[in-house]
Amino acid sequence: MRILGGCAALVGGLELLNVIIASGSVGRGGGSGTGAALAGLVGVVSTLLFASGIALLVRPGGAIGFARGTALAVLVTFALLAAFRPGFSMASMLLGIIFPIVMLGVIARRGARGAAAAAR
Amino acid sequence: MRHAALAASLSVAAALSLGCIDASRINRECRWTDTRSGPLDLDRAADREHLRQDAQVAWEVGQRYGDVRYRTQPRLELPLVGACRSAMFDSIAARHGVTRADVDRATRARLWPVDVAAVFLPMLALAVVAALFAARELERVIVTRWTAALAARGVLVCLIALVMAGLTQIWAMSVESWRLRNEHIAGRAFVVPSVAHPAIALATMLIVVAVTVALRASRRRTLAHSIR
Repeated sequence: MRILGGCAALVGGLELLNVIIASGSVGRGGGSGTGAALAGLVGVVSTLLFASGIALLVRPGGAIGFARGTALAVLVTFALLAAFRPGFSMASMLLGIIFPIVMLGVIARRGARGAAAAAR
Repeated sequence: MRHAALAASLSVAAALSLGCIDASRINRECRWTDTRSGPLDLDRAADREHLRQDAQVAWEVGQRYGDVRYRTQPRLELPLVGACRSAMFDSIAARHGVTRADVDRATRARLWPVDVAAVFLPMLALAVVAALFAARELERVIVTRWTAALAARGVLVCLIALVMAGLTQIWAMSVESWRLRNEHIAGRAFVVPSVAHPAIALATMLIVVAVTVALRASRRRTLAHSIR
């Protein structure tokens, strides 16, 4: 779980950095209000992902619910963004979709293993 | 399964090689190159295809002309790109005896077989595989109450369709980028069919995923009945 936490913090930080740089670049060209709102939304979910990564690093067992919710929020946000406003960098969108899927998979697998251990 | 993956990879590679831009005509100096002149008859498919290629080259040359100077400054780049493209479109119209409207239409024209073979079919196949995999995982944890099972399947279908629609856009733009031999496709992204019609792309994914999940559930029910 600590490895997953480290990866989540890294991906969240990268996405946050990307959205800040992209907003700065587009802002110089006079970006639209919708674009700013979307950048804000991506900023919020990236911050949440970063926070969930830190939480998993600090309390691996206690932050699973928060990490699961965050992964779902990041997945839905980036999938919506890619589907309807594919203006962000392709690598950023791909990472924003693939990483939460991996995160949800790892958390689900760990949950199943924990339940099996409890049953024994 | 391995044969299907090989066939899909080969069809994508063939489609990509067929639909690529003519790299010998691309430059960064806003210089027009064309071996053919004379009027085009837009009732002929070969002439329509020539005009489509001309318009695509003009679009791309304009983009690279701007990118090499002010790539990160859209305010400075856009007028430069616009002026270069406009001069090239006028040149195409004069050289081939067509109107500016014909050239504008040609910039949005697509090679549909390439889009179908390189984007739509592989992504629909991937959606079916993803739906089958997710449905199988869901069946392991599914609750016995049918309403809850139905709700869980509904959420799963929506989520997979949304993710696949997003991945389709990313893949479609990657394919366009390979065809143009330029990682910065900029405004050209909005000519890509799935990007131009995102609601249709999402609805198609929703239908494909829902049908796949429903068929799997029905097959499982039939199997369970036959065992009893």
